[in-house]
Amino acid sequence: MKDFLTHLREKTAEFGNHYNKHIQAVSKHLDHLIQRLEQKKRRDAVHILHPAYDFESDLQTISNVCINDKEKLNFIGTYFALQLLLMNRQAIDRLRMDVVEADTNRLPVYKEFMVNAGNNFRMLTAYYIKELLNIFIKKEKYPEFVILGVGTKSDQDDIDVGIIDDGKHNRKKFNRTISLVSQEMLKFATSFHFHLSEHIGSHYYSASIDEYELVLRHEIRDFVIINEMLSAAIIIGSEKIFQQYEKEIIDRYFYHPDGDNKYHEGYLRGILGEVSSLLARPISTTHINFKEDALRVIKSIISARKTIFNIKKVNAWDIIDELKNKDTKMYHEYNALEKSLSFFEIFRYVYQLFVAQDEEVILEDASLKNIRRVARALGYSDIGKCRAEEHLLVHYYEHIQNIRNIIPFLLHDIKVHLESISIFVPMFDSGYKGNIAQDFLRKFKFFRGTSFWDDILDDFKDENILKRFINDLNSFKPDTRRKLIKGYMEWGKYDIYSLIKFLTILGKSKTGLTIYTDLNNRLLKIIDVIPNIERNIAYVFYRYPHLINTYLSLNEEKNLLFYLKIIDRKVYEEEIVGVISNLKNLIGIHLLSSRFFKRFFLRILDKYPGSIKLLRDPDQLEEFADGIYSDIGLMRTFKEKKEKLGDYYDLEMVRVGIKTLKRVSVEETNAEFTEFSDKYILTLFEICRQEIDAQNKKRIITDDVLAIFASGGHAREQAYDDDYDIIVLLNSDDPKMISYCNKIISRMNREIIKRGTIPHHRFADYFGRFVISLKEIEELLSEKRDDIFIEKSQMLGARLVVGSHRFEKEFLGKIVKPYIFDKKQEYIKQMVNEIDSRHNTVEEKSLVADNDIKEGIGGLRDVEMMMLIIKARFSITEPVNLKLFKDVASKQKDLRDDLNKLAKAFCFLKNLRDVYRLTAGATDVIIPEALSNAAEIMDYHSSKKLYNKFIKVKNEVRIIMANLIAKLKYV
Amino acid sequence: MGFRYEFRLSGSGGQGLILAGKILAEAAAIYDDKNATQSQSYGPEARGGSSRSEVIVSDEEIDYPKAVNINLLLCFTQEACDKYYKDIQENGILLVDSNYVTNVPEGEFKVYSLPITEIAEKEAGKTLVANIVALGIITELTGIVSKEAVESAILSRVPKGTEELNLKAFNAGFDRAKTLK
Repeated sequence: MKDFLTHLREKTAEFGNHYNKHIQAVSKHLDHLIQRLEQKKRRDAVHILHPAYDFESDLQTISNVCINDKEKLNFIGTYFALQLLLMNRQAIDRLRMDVVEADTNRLPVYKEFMVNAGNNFRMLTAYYIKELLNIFIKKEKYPEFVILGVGTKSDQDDIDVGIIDDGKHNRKKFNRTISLVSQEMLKFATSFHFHLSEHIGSHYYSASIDEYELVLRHEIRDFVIINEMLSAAIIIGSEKIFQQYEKEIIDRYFYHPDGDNKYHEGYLRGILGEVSSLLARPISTTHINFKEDALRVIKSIISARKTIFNIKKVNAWDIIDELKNKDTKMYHEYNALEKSLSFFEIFRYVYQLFVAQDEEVILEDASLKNIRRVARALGYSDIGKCRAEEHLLVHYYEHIQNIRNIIPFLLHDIKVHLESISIFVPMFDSGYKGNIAQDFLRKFKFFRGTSFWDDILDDFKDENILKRFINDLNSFKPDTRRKLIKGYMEWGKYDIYSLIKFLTILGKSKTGLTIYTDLNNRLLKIIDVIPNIERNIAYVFYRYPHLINTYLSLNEEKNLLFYLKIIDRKVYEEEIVGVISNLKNLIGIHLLSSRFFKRFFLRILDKYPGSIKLLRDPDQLEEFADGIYSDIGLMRTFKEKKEKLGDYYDLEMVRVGIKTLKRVSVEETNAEFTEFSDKYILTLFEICRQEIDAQNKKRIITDDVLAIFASGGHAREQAYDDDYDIIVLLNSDDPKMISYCNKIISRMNREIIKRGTIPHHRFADYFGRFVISLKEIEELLSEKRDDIFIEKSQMLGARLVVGSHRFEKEFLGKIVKPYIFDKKQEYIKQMVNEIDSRHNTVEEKSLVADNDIKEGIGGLRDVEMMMLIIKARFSITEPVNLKLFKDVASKQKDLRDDLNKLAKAFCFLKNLRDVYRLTAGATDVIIPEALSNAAEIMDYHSSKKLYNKFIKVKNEVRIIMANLIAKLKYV
Repeated sequence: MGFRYEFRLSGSGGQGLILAGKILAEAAAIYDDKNATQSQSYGPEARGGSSRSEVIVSDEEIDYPKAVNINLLLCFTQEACDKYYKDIQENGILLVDSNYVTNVPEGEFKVYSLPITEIAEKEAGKTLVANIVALGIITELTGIVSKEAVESAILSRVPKGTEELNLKAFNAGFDRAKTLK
């Protein structure tokens, strides 16, 4: 038969290496302990080789048989170590059995397991400490004291304790005794931590109630202290002291319906700040962290709510049970929270038992093997291709999502509670007599160290309150005002979220702009020295991308560059590296973007803040846009459908814009722009048509009767035009049909304008309506006017967007062929004359700026007119784009060289125009000073170089044009 | 007269400094039979991502377990270094990871600037054992806790399956420190 020690080693072999300490103690002292017990004939009085049920009696018996204190310490330490091993072994055996019984409904088993494990551990620890104190205290007079467990109440890497004494007799010696107890705990059991006493009073290990009072009376200080106090439960010691402590110190943090709630408010502001910052923390993909990912946030929110509902229990499950009864409206939320709590607690417990007493687990091969052992113990098994540990980890992330879904509701509810009890509330009453700006800071002093101010900040969204605040602040002399601004910086510098929220409220309000600037400048002066600022900004950006985006939009270029520098610091966590990279990308877009482009991306990020994460990856952005497009069909009303479609347009605009900024080719940019823009017009037409049909309660078929043609830039498949030239043609003279189609187009116009693009209806001026019949066009083009070539050019350049190809064929046959192709000589002559006359006007009258990329000599207008001449000359119906240049060049040898050169120049001019629109502004006049971003993007690295190139290309275009005109003039 | 030696291990959360502190304390208390206490950053200071672990080793009773006169300060971040270097006692030791601490302060203490994370990567193949490399360096530089005790404490603390990796890291640090003496 195996000896006990071998058996014990085998039975505990699956435990983590940290249990070696206990095994070693048992190996070293057990034989002596048994010998001593046998010698004193007390062997049968102690349950030593089996899990015991009366630790107190066993420990006393052991103490009594020892011959000196050293032996006592070794033997009771050995007993503790042995019982801990046996207790854990037994608990795991039971768990394995219970999860099999429970099948898939394992969460109640987990809860029961954790409650029992906690109780047993606390009992063992309490009696062990009691016996240690008996050894060290002896008969000396010590203060009356109580040792409180203030942290998690199960076996962990440390035991958080708070020791309260009565402040009398020999406190120094008493503290030395606790030090000795602590050192024994480190050797045989679990080390103590004394956060409470470390921060209260003059002694390290214990503090008196008076000392607590002294420290906590005037300010909230450290909400972790309060959290610990609220979870305090007696391990050992005076019940009287504890009751006094509860009454005089702890009770103030609970809600008192008719009393002073300042302390309660302070605690909530502290703990909610903690919860918010934990929720803002990105979840790592490389490791898991039980405490940071989940347990701390669950326990904090439970603790906050327990103070509201006056629940004195300290065990998280007990608190939840009582909350379910007292706060029935949140019953389901508590239920879900309880399940996640049980899951995380047992996962951590068994992991720490089997592997290591760490909160953080790196997800790599070796640890996955260990997680597998944990998963098996928790009842997980391999299912098909999914391994037990993977299954467990999937549940881990699902539970995180669960709590991240639930907690905002509970948080909001507490915010509402705060709004009803806050000492700040009277300040926001219109009849308030004091000075808000000054009084806020005065009152804040008590709350220093807390960081939840959402309720107050939301009050500032009320323009009247904000105005009052600004007036109050501005009522002071400059010196005092400056001091107050400094005070606000003190308030906000350790809570970047609140500060940025405050800044954006100020910055977005016209009246708040000056204070915004003062406060923001102050922040920029000190931001560099705020600890972990890059991480804090990353957290805020992760949780509130929209807020950061709005804040960035309020900052000028030099500030944005400064922020880029601030966040460019080495961080270790991969997930934060990713967030910072996204933020850098966003700042980059802000830096590069013109107001024209910003309008689109601010609008879209406002509505879909989640899409900020996708800005780095246009492909993902496209998938997101496709998702929005698919959603259109699900919208109930036409208004919603149109809004969704608008979102799709904005998002696609942003996506293609980002691609341009990332230097994709003009061809790609234009092709993608045209694709989504046409899709937008086509879908918008469908929605508006259906809307009119729904109003008329009848469906009118327009398939071969109505067609929408794009002309101008959109027809040439050119991106980023801020107007949309449209020709709406009808192959019918029926007034009803004309009226019907007019209504559709009118609705479309309303929507197109919302996108920041102005629809221009080329023939509306002639006919007084948007829709024109083919017959009317024929009549118009038959007019003998010198400038008729303008209308002809519109027709020649038009591109079908909505309508049937049968209609298009009819349009070509009835309009383009007879009026342009069959009269090409006349048309080309008029066009050549127009080019000459434009050039003369530009040169002589200086009506057009030389640096106008569109209308200037050698600009885009020239190239486009040239291409229309070519279209007419060779009877080409395809739109004017780069393909057209290539096609004609391949067929017309004598034009080839010039056309290739012109294509190259066209490409450059279009690219410059696109990039300039996105980075400088939606204008055609190229200002050299505004070219810096464009120069970087287009690889010129100097505004001057790019500008010179622009001028050179324009001159080249002029020469090429002259060559081509000479060859094409006479058909 | 007995001795009291104070270690402060500081840096950022996730760099394993709390674990290193526990190992050091257990090595002294359990395996070298000295008196030792260990405490760690807690409360709001630990919430911002910073991390600090303190170990006091003494052959006498330790009645005050907070480090106030640091004998050895280990810094894994520039921030921690800037914050704590003033607490080092005269002739104490400042050990910094040169991968992260580039601006090393001057004072009445010895400075050892070593690429600890890089050593972990090169010698053990993983940066996450940089804390254990640092323990190796500290063990050899100070001689307060025996090498065997620290090795035993490491084996009693690290997860199963990682023992060899951790010992390799420890020895890499220990050997590197030998060259500094």
